[in-house]
Amino acid sequence: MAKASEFLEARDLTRSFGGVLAVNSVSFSVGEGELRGLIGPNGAGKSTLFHLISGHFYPDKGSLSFYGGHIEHKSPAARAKMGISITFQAVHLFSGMTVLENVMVGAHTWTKHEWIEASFRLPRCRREERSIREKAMWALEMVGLDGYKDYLAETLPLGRQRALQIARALCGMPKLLLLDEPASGLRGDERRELLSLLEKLHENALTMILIEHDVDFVTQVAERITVLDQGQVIAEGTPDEIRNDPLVISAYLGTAISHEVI
Amino acid sequence: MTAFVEYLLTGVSRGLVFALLAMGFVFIYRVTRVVNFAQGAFAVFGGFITYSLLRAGMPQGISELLAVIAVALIGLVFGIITIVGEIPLLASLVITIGLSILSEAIGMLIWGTTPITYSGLAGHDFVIFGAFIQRQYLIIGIASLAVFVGLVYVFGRTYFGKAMSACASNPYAATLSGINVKRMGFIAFMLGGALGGLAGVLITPLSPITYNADVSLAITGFAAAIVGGLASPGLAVVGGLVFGIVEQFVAGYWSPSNETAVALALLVVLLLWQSRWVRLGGLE
Repeated sequence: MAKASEFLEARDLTRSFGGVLAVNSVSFSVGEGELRGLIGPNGAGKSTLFHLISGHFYPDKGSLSFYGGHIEHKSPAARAKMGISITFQAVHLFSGMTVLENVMVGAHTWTKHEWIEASFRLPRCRREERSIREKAMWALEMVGLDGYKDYLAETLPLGRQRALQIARALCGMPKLLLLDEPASGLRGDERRELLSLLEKLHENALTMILIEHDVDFVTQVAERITVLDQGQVIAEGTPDEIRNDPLVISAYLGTAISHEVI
Repeated sequence: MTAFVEYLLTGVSRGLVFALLAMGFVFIYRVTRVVNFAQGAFAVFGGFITYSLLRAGMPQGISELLAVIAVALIGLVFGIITIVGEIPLLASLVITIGLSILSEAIGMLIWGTTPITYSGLAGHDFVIFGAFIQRQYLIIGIASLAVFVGLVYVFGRTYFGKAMSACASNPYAATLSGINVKRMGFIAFMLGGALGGLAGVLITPLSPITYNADVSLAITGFAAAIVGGLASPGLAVVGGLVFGIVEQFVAGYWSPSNETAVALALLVVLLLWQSRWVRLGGLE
């Protein structure tokens, strides 16, 4: 197992939009196999930080290393091929395609065959298509959607669409899975299913970073939690440490109020 | 009856050629969101290159195949010029117009201003219901149907086709699934080039082609593509057939000089009708 500093390490990551510093010199590291929670009030910079890791945004300054190599200037597709996968808070599916087809697209991170091989059905393409299908079915079973494989993706209820996103990410055999508020808007039973899925993935030693608004949900699964506020890391520790951290409490109650009290 | 059958069959096969052009628009638009105004230039290059290869003594079939491959490569170059880097979408549109003008200039420099043509694959013409049909129309039918079947197979059944459809459906999620959407865009341009080139190769034996034929070809192809909101290859084929048949009936029963005007009027009607029920793109 790689040491924390060798797996994912951010140093002084900074990104602003106009005059707003969305992520302000954030440094943190995640160890292999860890399930890290990332919490913070609205606008704390959690999703921006995710996009800096996935490559959808590039940092203004700072560095990001994955398995010891710098990745801050790599394209999102290149990072996906290295094993960094993201699922979104807003559901992004491929509409007009079935559940199984949606998941199969996730395999693009590891397939090698080219369009010309696909056009002529050359052996490598046929071989890879078989393993893509197997992997996609495995991913669907993991998230409990194997019974829905022939449904059109957009016809599923929200909870299952979220699960489908996770299955698509899993089909890409990620080394690091970024989950952006997977529980938001889910019903009680759907949350429990999600919780047990995350536990199962954690047992399989998949490294995950989980953004979640609901602190209770995070504390149930995460080993360590990083807290962001106004683009900066204000605390990091075990769920218990975080719950009792005065800075965290003040961030969640609102700094404006505490200033007035002082 | 004889005239009717003749107009119908020639309309269908010309319609299939428009459909090839229209599908080029659709594939490029779906993946890159660029309306490629240089699509007509692909057809012109297809005809010109075949003509030159035939003059150089190459066998017919080989010349036509090589021309399609050459135009696919031209399509790739056009794609790279149009969408490389972080070019805004509107700029890409203007670039394709520029490429279309540039193509006309290149066509005029190399092949001159006189219309060129060549005879299609050898063979006898045939008669259906008393109508005299040139063999080239049959060849157009077979070639374009084979292409349609191939595309339906690749896009409907193969993993690669699904990945390309994924780019069309949600480029953002496709990128984060590890798909290089830009590269898919280049492939779409190459496919658009091949389809346009094939259209030119097939139509030149029937209607001689000039360096500036690209505009009218592009307009008809675009009109056919807009029937499906630029998003559906299947509806683009329907659109192509409608335009081909209407054009032949107008030319036959009324006057050939009115065929373009009627096609354009039909385009306006379709755009109005289509805007009521299909969002442009019909996608997310």
